[in-house]
Amino acid sequence: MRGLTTRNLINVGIFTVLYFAAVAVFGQLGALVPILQVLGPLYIPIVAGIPFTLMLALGYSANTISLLALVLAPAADLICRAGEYRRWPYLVAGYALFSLMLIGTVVPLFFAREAFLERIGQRHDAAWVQSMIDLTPSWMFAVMLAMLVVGAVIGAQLGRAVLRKHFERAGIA
Amino acid sequence: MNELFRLDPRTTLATIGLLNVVMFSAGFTGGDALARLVFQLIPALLAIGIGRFWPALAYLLISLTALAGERWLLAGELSGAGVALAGVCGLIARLAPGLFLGYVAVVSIQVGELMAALERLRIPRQLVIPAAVVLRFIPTVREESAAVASAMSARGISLGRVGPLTWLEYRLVPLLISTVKAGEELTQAALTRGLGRPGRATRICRIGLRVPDAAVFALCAVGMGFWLVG
Amino acid sequence: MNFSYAAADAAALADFGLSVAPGEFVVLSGPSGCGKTTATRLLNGLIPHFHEGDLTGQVRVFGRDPAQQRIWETAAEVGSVFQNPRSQFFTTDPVSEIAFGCENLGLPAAVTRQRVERALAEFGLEPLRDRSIFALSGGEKQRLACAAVAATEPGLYVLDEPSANLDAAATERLRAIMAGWKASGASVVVAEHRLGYLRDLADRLLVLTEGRITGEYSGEQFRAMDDDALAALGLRRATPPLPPRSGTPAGPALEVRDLTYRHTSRKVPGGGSRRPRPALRLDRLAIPKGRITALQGANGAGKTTLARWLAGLSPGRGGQLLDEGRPIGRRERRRRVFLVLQDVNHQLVTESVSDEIAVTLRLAGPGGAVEAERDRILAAVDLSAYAERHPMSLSAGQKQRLAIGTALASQREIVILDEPTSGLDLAHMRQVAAALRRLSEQGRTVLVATHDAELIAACADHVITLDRGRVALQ
Repeated sequence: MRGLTTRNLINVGIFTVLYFAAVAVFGQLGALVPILQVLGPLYIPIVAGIPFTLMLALGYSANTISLLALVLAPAADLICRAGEYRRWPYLVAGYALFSLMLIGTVVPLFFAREAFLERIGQRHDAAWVQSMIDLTPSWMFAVMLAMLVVGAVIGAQLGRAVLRKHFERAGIA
Repeated sequence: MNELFRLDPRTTLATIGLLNVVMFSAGFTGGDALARLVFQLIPALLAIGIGRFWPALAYLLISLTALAGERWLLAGELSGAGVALAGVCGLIARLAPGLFLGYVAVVSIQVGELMAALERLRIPRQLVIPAAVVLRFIPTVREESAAVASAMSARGISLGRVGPLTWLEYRLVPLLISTVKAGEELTQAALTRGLGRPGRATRICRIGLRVPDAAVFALCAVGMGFWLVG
Repeated sequence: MNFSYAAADAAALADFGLSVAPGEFVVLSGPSGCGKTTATRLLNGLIPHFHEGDLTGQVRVFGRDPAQQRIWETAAEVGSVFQNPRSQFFTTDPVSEIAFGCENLGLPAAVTRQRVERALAEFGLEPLRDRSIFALSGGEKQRLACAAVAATEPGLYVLDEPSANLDAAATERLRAIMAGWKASGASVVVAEHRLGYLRDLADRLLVLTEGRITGEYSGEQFRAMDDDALAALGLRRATPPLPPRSGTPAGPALEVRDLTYRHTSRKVPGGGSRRPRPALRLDRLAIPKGRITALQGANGAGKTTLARWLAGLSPGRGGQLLDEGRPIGRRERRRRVFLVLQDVNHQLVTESVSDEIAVTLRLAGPGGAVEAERDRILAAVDLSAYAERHPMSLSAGQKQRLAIGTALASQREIVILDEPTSGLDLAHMRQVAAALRRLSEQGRTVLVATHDAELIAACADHVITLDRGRVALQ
């Protein structure tokens, strides 16, 4: 990983914490409206777009993004690098991919579902099991993915708006 | 109430890893169920070990209820609602131990220890520094966040009076800016103290595997055993 | 070990040349923005490695140019102490922190351990060794920062306004530390505008204005300067001014009665908790209405705690605030008191100075046009020229004035300020004092918690002194 200065590394740590802090703050808002929990994959990327864009503005050297989310992010990084970290559509796409990391919040749901069905299958008849499967269709997964991407795009735009409005004028970006 | 024992950070981290593996792949029967139970209890033990008795109790209450709920619901005849509830219980039972153990880790591991442990494991500095900074900044961000919230309420800015989007802006932006500034100051200080020099840093923090670590590993081994046999 | 340089950085420093002999103690001073911080950054390598810009000329520290080396090479020989104790620490416990520099530089573990023990002893930090850094006071933190820097045994110490957030006692300890460094043969360069504590230590004083050296004085000349001479240079006084006469104030007053306040017990990292002594124990405290009252006391005496309680931000057990005999409950206090925090950054939320005022006006009053009032307030705090700037891009002094502007806009009759002038130079401190007087002219009651004796002398009508939670003088 070339080009990662100590300063970048420290920023990565800071933004990891801020990422979660942003989500937590929004969660406070959402606590009033429980439905928002379900929409998690949608709103999280939106809110987190703010710190993320700030981070990009501050240290867009190679691989900063990779560090923040080891697994999916190298791909995100490649996309951003293709756009030389400056061209907006590329940045958005990269962030979308990055946000797919959040699929992790949904994965437990589906793990549980699998194990669940296995267990139930042992005790009830097939028809009943079939109706259970219908209750939690697999296409839900695809819907969640889509929500993540949409959310990410919105989040990135929001991030850019906030960047212009605040961070650039404040002199820290 | 003070801490009863100190764990090497590597033990805590390893436990987190093992715990999550089991939680997400274990089923409901036999060995698997026992494995889950063991790993359910370990975070509580560690929490008590560092003196957090009440949180441990709360965690146990919630997670064991969820576990029991899942078991009980699945054992009987079920309606659709029952299944959904069982699913939720299952989810809680699987996620809670990991989250709680994460909380214990963050609260008990000090930055100096963490750096010593990670560097001992030969993890490259590109990962060590961010990890240390995360640990270092969690309390800072919490403080700053509380300060911003308190300042906002003192000025009379509340959700009702400014609307959700504006509230979010007022709540987040000062936090981000002040944290970033703190980060810049930290970076400057750290750079002038040699952070970033290539080559190994000689951390003096005394870490090492001792009796409590062995005990925890033994417990994990028991849990893993159940899971593998399951 | 001589070093000398000449640099011309158009924005911050021009035609700057300085040469420091080994073991010499040099003070750099001047009004805010004069370039003294920039000079320190040249010495420790932060310019150009952290701060980018145009640098012409050379810097030489111990024979080498920090711009040409890696910054960690410079770190081995130059130790830096910064202004803000809070954000200098990388780790969370004192022992690791002191060891941090040595560890990074790769010193053998045995040597590092030895130096840590010595530093703990020399700097009086032994009793604090197991605490969390977050639980230390400002003075203790700055001492720890000095210890951590001293552990690497640098030949040159560079300090940037190290006493900015410290009270008198802590500043004296800092002075003793710096005297120790000088005695051990190290060179010291300090950028400061509170010069009082450096008087006996300085071998030389350099005054900068707008990036150029406008005055150079030897140690004796510096010591011969009286406060007026210093003020003429835009510097803070060296000797503390006479405080206004205290005594029971006449006229209507707000009274605090029977307040006992304990912080909720705090958890110590790694487990355990402590139940602290009461932070405040006040039988009776009177704040005259419509006047400026200074709340004085060392850090930790309870000024901030009292300020927050008065503002209704923290519940107290027992205790009453009486307005001419009538008790004021917590909710009413929140409505009537405006608190300007110590760290103003937490309070400034909008994207422009004028918006900040406008929003506050709208929240405070009924609807309707606020532009006229807003402009008046901007003029009152002397920020009209900065109306469109982002609040966070202002200097510390300007931010304080903006916060005072929001206090004006809030229409609340009681305004409390917590340490508004830490780190401000003479001119800005006077501006804050003027803004406070404007508040009082409007009939508002002003309470300033501060340890800045010059501010108190400049605008306070009445002084209350707190010592460890009790009233020592009023």
